[in-house]
Amino acid sequence: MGKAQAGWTFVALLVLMSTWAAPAEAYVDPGSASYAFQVIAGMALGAMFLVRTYWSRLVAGIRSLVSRDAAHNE
Amino acid sequence: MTLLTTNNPAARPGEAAGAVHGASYRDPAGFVFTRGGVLYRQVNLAGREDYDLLMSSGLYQTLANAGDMVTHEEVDRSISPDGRAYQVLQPARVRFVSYPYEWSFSQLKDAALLTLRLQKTAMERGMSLKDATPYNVVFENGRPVLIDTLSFERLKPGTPWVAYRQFCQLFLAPLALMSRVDIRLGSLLRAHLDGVPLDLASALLPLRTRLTPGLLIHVHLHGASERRAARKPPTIGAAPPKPQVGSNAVRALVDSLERTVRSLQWTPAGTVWADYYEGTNYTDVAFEQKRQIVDAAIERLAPATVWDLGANDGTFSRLASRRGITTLAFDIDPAAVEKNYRQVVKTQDRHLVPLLLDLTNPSTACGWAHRERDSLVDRGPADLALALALVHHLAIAHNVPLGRIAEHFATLARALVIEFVPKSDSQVQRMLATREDVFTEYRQEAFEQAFSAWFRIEDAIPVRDSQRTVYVMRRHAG
Repeated sequence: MGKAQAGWTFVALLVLMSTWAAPAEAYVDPGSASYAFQVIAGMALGAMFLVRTYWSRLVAGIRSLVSRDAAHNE
Repeated sequence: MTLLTTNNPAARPGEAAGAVHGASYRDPAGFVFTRGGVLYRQVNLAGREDYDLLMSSGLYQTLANAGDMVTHEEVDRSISPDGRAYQVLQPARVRFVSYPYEWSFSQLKDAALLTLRLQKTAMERGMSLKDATPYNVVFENGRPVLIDTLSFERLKPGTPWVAYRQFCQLFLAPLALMSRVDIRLGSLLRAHLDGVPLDLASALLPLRTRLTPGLLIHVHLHGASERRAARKPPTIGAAPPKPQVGSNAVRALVDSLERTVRSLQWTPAGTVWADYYEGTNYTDVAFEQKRQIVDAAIERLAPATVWDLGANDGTFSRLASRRGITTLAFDIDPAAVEKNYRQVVKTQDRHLVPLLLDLTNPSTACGWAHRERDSLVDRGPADLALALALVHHLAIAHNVPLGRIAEHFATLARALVIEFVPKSDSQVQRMLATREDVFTEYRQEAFEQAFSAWFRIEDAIPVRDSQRTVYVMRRHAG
């Protein structure tokens, strides 16, 4: 994972952590906290996976368009 | 979480009716018991559905074919100790159960990667690991293998991975500490049988590890969320609804854990013993003769199990393992054990298991009622122990009297190939150079006398080009 992606992870998690509030009126043991944390981390990592997937598809699409145009121009 | 142990084939008291293993009490799905020296695993009615799914989904066969999981046979249910078995399984024999605090860095890393591979394969088959602990893994045939058949449960859509925290505490945190702080922090697993608390790991890891995305998420932020929750005062009321998560998110989490584990590295170097053989006072002739003496002794004694005590990188251990003998190569130095394990992997040695052990403070019986994890002695004795260039370290560096060394070795092995290094040897001279020589007892005659109390000395062979002697001994009967 590159530095840019690491940065994205950090920012995404900070945003998510800041919006996450554990239920104030409930008993929460450390295991439950881990459980809730996993939901957030899983969502963030899942979202990053989707971004990575679509980003590479987008880049591939643009590259094929550019190479097609280049072939037309020759 | 349950554990197989088949190290000691002798039946223990109470085994006639089936003795439940001391580590096997957490999982309502089943337990492990021994009967007549044979180990079985009972599947309770509570574990019926998950066990049937494991077998019918093809997951068991897939993992067994890949060598990732111990195989088993279903046997007569009437041998159940409580008469309430859905199934009784007889797992394939495991030769030695070792514990994560006895493993090198790469052994723990390989066990972690196995666990994540198991989880990914299970998810493809509609199942999930309900525990992710290195205590469910043994090293058999030169590689890590899952031994807990009942570790799998039906995958519940929308549910996070229940073993996530356990994986982070028992695999990721110790690996990160060993890799990024100090290799010796692996010993934290001995103090924390449920794994290194994430807030502790987070506090010990250097600040720069927050720049590694996997460690930031799974150790630092994960630990912070637990700390934050622990600070909240408990309140009485209805439990909040359980959070939901998509299967892609769980898959992404497991992938992230795998990337993080793979990124953790440690290179064995810089420890006292890592280059030991380069720094010995042996000539090539002496080393080769010693090798021949040990090899001949192994051939003559024909042991089924060999424990090489102070094995270093396993040079002499391989004289046994290459004969197909189950061989454990113990050493105090994490670098030596790491080098040895890498060699095992490289050569696909199926009979050698390198393990970390401080003989002056060996693994004890620990966990609930001292019965969850066996001591080293509980897992013996070996048919033969090698103790080459070891006694002077115990006697002089650690002040252990020769009589006590002999007595302890008699609990570890039925026969010994042991080397005596006299005070006149340059290695011992070096040890004595900076301290007062209070070791008046440390003489060859006293050595022979001390060991004769426990062993019959069959051979005493001087090593050519040196002042050393290799002894072959058998423990007295009874």
